[in-house]
Amino acid sequence: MNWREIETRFRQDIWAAVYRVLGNEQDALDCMQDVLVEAFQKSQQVQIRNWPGYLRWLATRRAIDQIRSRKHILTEPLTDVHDLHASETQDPLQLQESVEAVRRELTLLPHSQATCFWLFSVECLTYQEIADLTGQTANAVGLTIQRARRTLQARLAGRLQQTSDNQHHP
Amino acid sequence: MNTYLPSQNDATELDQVTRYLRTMPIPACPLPIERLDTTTSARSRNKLSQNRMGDSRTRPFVVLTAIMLTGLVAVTFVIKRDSPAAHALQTEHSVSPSGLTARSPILVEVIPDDSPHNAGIQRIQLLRRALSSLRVEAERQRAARQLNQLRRRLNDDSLAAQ
Repeated sequence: MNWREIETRFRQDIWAAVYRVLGNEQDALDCMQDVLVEAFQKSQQVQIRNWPGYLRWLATRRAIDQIRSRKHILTEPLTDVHDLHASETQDPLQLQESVEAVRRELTLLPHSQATCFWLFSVECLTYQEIADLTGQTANAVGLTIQRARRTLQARLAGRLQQTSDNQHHP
Repeated sequence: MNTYLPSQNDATELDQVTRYLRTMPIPACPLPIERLDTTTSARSRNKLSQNRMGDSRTRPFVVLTAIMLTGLVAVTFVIKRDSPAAHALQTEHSVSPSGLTARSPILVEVIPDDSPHNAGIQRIQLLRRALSSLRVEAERQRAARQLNQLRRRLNDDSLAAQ
């Protein structure tokens, strides 16, 4: 598969991966440019067997790098909030807040935990695919994801507790 | 593709977030194909350059030219720096800007106002500063609107509860 073919075939996948992590178009565009350049350079050096997996891994990794380097999390316009797919169990505003909280907490996790968790839970890659991309065993990937999941859940629960305490004792 | 999808009943907040992120609407990629093509042309340029560099007959000539060019640039730089036209850096004695003490000589960069190049740069810097202020202000207003909306909502909820 030549570069032009790869680019045409997977550009929407890369775009979707960076957009999911970053949540806004301008940052996603910057990140996508970086990912394309890096992927192109890599394609000249080594043979990539799993292009879709590799590109999602690279896009996720670079997007997480980008949110780590942000000085502050931007607020979302209300129109976007109203456009949310309303979950059956959660208010759209609450859901949006939770999404932002997960993005924020993701930056506090070790890089490999954050990337593995996101690739598995959001990008739907298997343990084996992630293991091939990161050079770990599938078991190690499973453990890393579980650890990330536990940490994120605990932090989200802590955040909810804090919010409820603030409501009771303003 | 993995098949991990928690059921609706045991879904935690984290599961709801990941489910939303998996199914969230993604806009079409706004990056035009032509922009992506720049990497392709860069590749062909690189390849051409590599071919040139790889040719053993021309390599000594290329190295010699590179050394000569570097030397030329260095000499030009030194001449420019030492020339009387280099008024860019002056001490405070010759510039005497207001608010500076005369104790220590402080280097001050003087940008001639009549140069169209510098005027352009200044204009760009001004616009960039204005843009960043506007961004901050827009963010503040957006956050304030969101907060008001939430307040109204809470108010309505508490009224409904009463």
